[in-house]
Amino acid sequence: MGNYYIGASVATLFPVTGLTSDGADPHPSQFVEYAEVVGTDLNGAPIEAGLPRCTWNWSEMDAAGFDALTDYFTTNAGIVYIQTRTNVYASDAYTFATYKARMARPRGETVPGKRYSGVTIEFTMMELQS
Amino acid sequence: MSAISADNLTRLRTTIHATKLGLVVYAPATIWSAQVNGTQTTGARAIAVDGVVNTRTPGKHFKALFGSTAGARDLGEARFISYSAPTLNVSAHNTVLADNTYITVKEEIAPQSIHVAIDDNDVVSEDGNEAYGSNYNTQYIPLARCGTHAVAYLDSVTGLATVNFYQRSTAIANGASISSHLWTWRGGTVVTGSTTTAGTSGSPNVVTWNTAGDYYCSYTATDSNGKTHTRYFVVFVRARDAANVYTALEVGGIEGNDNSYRATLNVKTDAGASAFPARALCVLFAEDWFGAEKISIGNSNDVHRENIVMVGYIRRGTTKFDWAKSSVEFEIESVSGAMDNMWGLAGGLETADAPTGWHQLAGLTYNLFAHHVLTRHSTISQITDCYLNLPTYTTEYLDLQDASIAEQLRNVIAAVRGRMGCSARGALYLEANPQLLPLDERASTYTIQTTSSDLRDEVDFGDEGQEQQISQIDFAGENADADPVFALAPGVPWVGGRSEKIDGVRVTDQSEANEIAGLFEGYRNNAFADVVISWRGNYRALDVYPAEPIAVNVLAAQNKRGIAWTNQRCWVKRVAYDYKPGILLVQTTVEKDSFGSTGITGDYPVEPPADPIYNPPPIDPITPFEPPITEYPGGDETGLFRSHVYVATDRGLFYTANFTGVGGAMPTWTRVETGLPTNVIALMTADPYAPSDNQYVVTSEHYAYSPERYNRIYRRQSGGSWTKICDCADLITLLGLSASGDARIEAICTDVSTPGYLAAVLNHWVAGGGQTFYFAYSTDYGATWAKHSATPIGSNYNGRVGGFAHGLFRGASSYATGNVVYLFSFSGGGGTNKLWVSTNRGATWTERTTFATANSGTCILQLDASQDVLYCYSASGIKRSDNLGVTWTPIAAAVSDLSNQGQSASGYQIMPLYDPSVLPRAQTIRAVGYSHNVWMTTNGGAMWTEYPTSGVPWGSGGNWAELGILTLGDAGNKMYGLGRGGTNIDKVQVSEDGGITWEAKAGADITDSTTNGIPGSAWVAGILPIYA
Repeated sequence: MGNYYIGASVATLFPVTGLTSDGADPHPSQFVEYAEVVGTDLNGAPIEAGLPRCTWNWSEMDAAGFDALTDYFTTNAGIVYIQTRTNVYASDAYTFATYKARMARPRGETVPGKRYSGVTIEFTMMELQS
Repeated sequence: MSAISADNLTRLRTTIHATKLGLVVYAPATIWSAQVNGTQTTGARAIAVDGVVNTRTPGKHFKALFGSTAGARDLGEARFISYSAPTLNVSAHNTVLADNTYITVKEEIAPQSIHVAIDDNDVVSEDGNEAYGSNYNTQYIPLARCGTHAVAYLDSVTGLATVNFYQRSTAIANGASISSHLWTWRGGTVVTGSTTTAGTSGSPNVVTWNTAGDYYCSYTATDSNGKTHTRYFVVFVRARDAANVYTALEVGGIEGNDNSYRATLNVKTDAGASAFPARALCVLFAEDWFGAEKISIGNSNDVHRENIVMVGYIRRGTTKFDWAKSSVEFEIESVSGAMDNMWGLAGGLETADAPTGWHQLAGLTYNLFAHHVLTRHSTISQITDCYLNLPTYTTEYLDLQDASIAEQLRNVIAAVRGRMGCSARGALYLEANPQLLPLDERASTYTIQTTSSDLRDEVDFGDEGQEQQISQIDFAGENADADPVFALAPGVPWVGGRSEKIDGVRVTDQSEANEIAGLFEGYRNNAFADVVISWRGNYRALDVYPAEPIAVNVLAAQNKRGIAWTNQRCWVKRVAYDYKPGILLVQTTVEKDSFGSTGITGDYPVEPPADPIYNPPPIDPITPFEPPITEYPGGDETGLFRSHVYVATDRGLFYTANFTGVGGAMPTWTRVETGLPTNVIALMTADPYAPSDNQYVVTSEHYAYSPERYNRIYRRQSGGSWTKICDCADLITLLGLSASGDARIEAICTDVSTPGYLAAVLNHWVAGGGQTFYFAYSTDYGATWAKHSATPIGSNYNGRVGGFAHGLFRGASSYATGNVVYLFSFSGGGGTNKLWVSTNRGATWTERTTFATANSGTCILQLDASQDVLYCYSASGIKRSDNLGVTWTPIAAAVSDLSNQGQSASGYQIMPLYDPSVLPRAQTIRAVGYSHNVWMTTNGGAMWTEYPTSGVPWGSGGNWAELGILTLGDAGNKMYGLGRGGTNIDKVQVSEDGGITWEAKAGADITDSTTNGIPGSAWVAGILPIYA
């Protein structure tokens, strides 16, 4: 079991592998500390702004797992809590943190055999939970 | 103000900013209800009620609704005043309350004006019935201040919402101090401090709530005189993600300037429009992150409310519900914006050592004026913190215009270089424009000294105009005695730019006038008045109010214009927030700190201004545009002088039937006074539809309430005898005025749209009081008279009527809408000249413009009523208004000779060309100057020429002139002139070349009292040429 969790609240977080019959973590995931670059300062440095965002990726997933993720998105109206990898590297590993986030509808390519490839879920407006 | 702290600067400059906005809307609870017991008369303030349900005792000014069902307001609303069984006292309203009408009191004070009441004896009561007490206007109530509303979430762990409070009240009365405090935190539990603890920003009272809700709380400050003042505020406690916290927001820009803040919000919700009622209190708040740290950085003037972004009220009529998108869009505006829609009654305040009424204030200052308006004439001081930081000049009189509360305040405080507006969080500030303060009086602590990390993208320095917009400030201030103090800055005008007049600014002495003139010059010529700075993120600590400088640092290499600023002091003049979920970007428009060199003493008149001498303005009896004259004789008199001419003077009323133009025979004049009790004629006019059949005069303008003084209106029909149709006593009775007062009929006018219409203005005053003008009218040639109400047009200290005319609506293409009526009065004794406008034929009036004082400012208003164009002459030149006097545009700077005229007593005109087909309107304007000559411009006032250049038809010398010149309606060059010079030479003159040359039409020298009938030394009351 991996470190990626999802839930309707902090108290009800559960491993996302519980939704995917393949039992795979969304790895590799991307974590970005800001939402977008809004300009440059007078030194020419980019100005990053907004709440963090991240993307969960599965190279392949069966249709049942994809449907379960989609149902979860629908059930929670796109507002979920997740535990996901951050870019903080400590003790020879990336750390994980819990956020409240806006979940986007899962996306993927259908492939023969009732499977999906390149499945991704984007999370935005991630509010760090203490 | 303190600078942004070092820790916060680090956060602002080095972290990723994120912001999530939320909106809460106050839904006031019903705390008291009852039903009317027995039908109550219209407007009853004491209402018998039964069935009272008192959940919480309302405070004074809480909103009271009248409805046909429980909780409804379909029958109107008022303010709760008090309740003592079985009587409910409320504020004025105009609602008939039937038996069992429902009354619902909401736990809310809305931003409203509070009107005074004036009884038949001119005794003023505040709030309708609050009589003046012995020390109200000496021991002024304090101003309670406790910060803005609060929004807090219930903590997911503790279940508590925690809010900090501290007061920042101030005593107003001389020598007083704040002595005690009393908080009510309904539903809250005090963790630190107590309900009587003042609290400080560093050691606040800490209060927690454990249940979501809207808690209407209060704070009362008591001063050392025992006077109290109470502020109300809302604590919004919310469960996170609750339905009544709107976080799905689109913000169409939040913008603030030196007047107010405004925002357009689009809320994604199924709540519907009813959740966003008009005038509802809204608080926009933020959750902010600076990197991983969740913290808000706000303005240091509102510590512990850093999460509050904007406080406002929903603008009436802006709420729109989109069913398809489940969204509601509306606009909110800050309380200073709401004040623009709160109407205040006209009045005046004066200083008095021992006040005996509400209108007298001990040690009257501009701050006390504002305090009086905010605390007595509105609810504003109870719903937001008010800061009165105006310059501390004393003054003898200040006028309350018939205008919005905001206008009343802004118009007055402009005299002390003041401005009024709100901070984003809603606190109201009245303070001097910092750019118009001497350098050593300007705030010097920078909110922020920028670095390259603070700013986003290139600084926009704006478009610089010519090097100097203003060549010279021609400053006419007023000292404590209301005497003019003139200054010029710079002493030698700049080569470029135009001269600008600055009138009516209060100064202490000549030295200060010179300094302030320099400040205006520097401010007007500020080349960097609109510099747009985009900040890297959430810099909402920056605000327009209070005025706090920032220091801007920019390298030449960092902008395409190569401008380098090092710690350049700038002032924030506008703020704009750009929000999308998660990101709040702040942009400010700043102006570079400006200052000008101290000016020099200005030009004072060689001769002191003459005391005001009233002479009725020349009557304007002919409507010079397509006049509805029904008696056109068939002969072509167009382009000719009319053959039938009346001349009214204080020595008689004269008529000729053989008036001719230049080169024609000398007319024969005869007296036409049969039936008049006196030959002293004050005014003359005629019905425009039948001018030879219906003529009117007012006899004897002098203090004429006593019948023997003959102040009456007479009508003459078809050349017969004059018949009295009205006198002062008639109008006093009609208008319900005190017979013990003095009065005179000061003006009459007809209406080009209504045959038989005649209006009159009665000037009525009582001993020790000011002049008050009343309007009466007749629609049957004066046979019977009517009033709209006894409500006066307005008052003017020592005022006399200087102009009265019916106009049209602008743009009207026919005569059918002659609903606009103008009244202009000038004041002879330290008051101000005023213009009132009615757009409903005199039913109601608006005091539209207050001009400078009589002896240093405007003395003339010319009404081009046919076009609804107004002209006035003031010490700052000739101005024109195309919008019924709302705004005035200078069309000519002062001409020296005309400038003198502006300080003379009476008898001068600015005469626009009436016929727009000949020249574009107002390109040709004539003015009569101090030296009795005619000044004319043919290019809208840019250049003036004096005619005649030699020889003066009315006589030369003397120190004043009374002239009446009437331009005919053809080519505009046919003019009649009536003159009176300092050597007592009176003439009837004509000109056919626009006033360049003149020819006498009543004798070569009218000092010969027998020649052609018109005696010498006559005061000119009017000239009336008509088709006979």
